[in-house]
Amino acid sequence: MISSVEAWLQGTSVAAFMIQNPWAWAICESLHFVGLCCLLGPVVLMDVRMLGAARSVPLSALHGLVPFAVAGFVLNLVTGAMFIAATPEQYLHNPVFYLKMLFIGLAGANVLVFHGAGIFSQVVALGPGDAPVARAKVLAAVSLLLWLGVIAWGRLMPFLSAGVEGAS
Amino acid sequence: MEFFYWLEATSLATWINASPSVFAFPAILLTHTVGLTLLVGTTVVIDLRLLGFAAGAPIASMREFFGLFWAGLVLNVSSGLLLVIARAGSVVVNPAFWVKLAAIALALGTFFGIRRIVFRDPPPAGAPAPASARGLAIASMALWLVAITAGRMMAYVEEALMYGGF
Repeated sequence: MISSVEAWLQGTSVAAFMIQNPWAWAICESLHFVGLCCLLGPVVLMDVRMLGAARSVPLSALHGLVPFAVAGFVLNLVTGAMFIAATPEQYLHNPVFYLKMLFIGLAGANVLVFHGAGIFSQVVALGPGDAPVARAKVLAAVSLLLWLGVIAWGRLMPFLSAGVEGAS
Repeated sequence: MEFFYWLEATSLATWINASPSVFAFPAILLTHTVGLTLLVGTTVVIDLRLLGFAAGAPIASMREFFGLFWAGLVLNVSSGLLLVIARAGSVVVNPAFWVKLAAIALALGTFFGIRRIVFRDPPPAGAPAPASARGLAIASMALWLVAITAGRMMAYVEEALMYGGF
């Protein structure tokens, strides 16, 4: 199954483009870091606010920056997909890659719980100086740990993949 | 140059380069990425606020995030120094490294400029940031973009310098 996906990805024009243009790879890597900062700037600051720091900042205002975070996420989804299309053998057999995807999924689930369980409506009503909600503190701490994990799995992937066939 | 060759021959540099431990070179790189996220992530939010986004937050309140900015800067100056020590000889002849350093110096300059213009004497609640601060906010984001790109390019430029071609 994986090998047919791999063969299909290697035949795409995106793969050809990435392999024929070494600078495209370097630019996508830079953009992957830019996207990371756009995504996690608003996320980390909202989490820190929910944990009880920076109380003079209304959470509702920070929440207005979510479109920038989404833009950063989309940028990383696109550049990340380009890496996978170009060298699927480095990712699709690699447990560290799936751990990173799992952590991204869990971070997404954390956002869904935050909105679905009514915690968002509680915290967004917090004004300057208001103490945070206990359940929101837990979700914020979980969010910070999950994103730290995403960065760690991504950054350490080349070093933890020594035994993976096809990984550099 | 002698000094930089001596630097990359020190036992600290050898440990960073040669240790198979994930706590040597990989952990330093990871720290550099976490610091980048804190430093530039926080800066981008402050810059966006000055440009008029998240207007519900008083500009003066963004000061509360300066701690995250400093934490990111400390992480990256220290991890960055270790990364430079490890490969001092090749880093100092890498033009991408000097572009990165110049961009960082100018970006920090925009931070101090912004701090002087809007955080010493913040505009009244609801008032927009002065045009000079908005200009510095745009420059700040552009300079961090250059710093990140030049940093990423260092490996490619080093390879090109060693083997020729890209």
